[in-house]
Amino acid sequence: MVSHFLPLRQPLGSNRCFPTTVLAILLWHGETVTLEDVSEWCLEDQDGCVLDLALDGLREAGIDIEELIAHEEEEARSQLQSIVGSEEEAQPVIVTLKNPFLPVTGDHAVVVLHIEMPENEESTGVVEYMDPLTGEIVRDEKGRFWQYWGYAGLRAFVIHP
Amino acid sequence: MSAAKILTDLNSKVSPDIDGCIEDALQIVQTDVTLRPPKTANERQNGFAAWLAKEQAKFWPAIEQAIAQRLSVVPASDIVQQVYVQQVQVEVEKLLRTFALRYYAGLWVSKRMGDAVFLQAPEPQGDYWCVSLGVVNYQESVGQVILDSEGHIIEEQSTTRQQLLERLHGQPFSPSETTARK
Repeated sequence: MVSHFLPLRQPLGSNRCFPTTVLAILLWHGETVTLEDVSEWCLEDQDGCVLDLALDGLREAGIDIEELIAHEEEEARSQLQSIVGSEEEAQPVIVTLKNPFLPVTGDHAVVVLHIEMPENEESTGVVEYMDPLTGEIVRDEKGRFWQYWGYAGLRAFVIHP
Repeated sequence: MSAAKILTDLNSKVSPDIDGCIEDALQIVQTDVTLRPPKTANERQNGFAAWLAKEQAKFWPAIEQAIAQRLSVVPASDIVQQVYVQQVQVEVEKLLRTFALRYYAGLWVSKRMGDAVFLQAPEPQGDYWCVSLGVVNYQESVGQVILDSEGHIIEEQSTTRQQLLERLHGQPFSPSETTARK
């Protein structure tokens, strides 16, 4: 489980979820950066970020970004769990979520902090993540997180300053 | 409710009970967290036919129960089946197809467009499906993604990021410069 993580809230009414998640992780690593810095590296404009362009921009700014690659949901879950649940070095992971039944939303970036894998077939396990929209830690026990993550394409990123 | 009244409602354009059955069925689909998009070639072929059949079969017991409860009839009765086939099934299928097509359109859009872009429900367009693109704070559609019936993107007919930005800002798009990290 990732500990001592300070949740951040994106500016109200903005689309700055991805830069806010990156900022939260960089601050957790002890970096001294601002949302404006991150926003600039992410090539964010008034229409938000294009995720892949933002990743390129962050890499050009010297930030190491590891993208987890998995084609199947089970494999992706396992990778995610092994990183946020590592006993030696648990790391926060940025993922994108999308609500399949809410048309007026794009991808939404959040930071995964804790996962408990399901103990039986009836259980969906537990996922805790920072939602920059509210600036709070959300605890999902119903499996909604897994559906939304899968619907957004199972994308996940580990940020190393 | 009597079977005669239900049959009258079935043929009526306005029926709160039938509308309620549809709402209940769509709610069942929308609250199911196990629903996943069709991904295998078998699930995607013939307009997601196998996947649609599988998902509808999965939802049928709960929907059957909901229709029966709404109409105060026995779940296994013919009338429930009739209401489902004549009025509810088409809406469930539409919702599932929207779920599948928006998944593929969404993957394509998130690779190319900004995260302020959202997707409307797919509309049939000849042999294809058209998903209109919107942007927060803009009233009109700013582009479209065209897909075939199996969810493959028809790129040459779909809006590019450059076209989208030109439509939003009324001028040719020039990418921002990256600032090196100090």
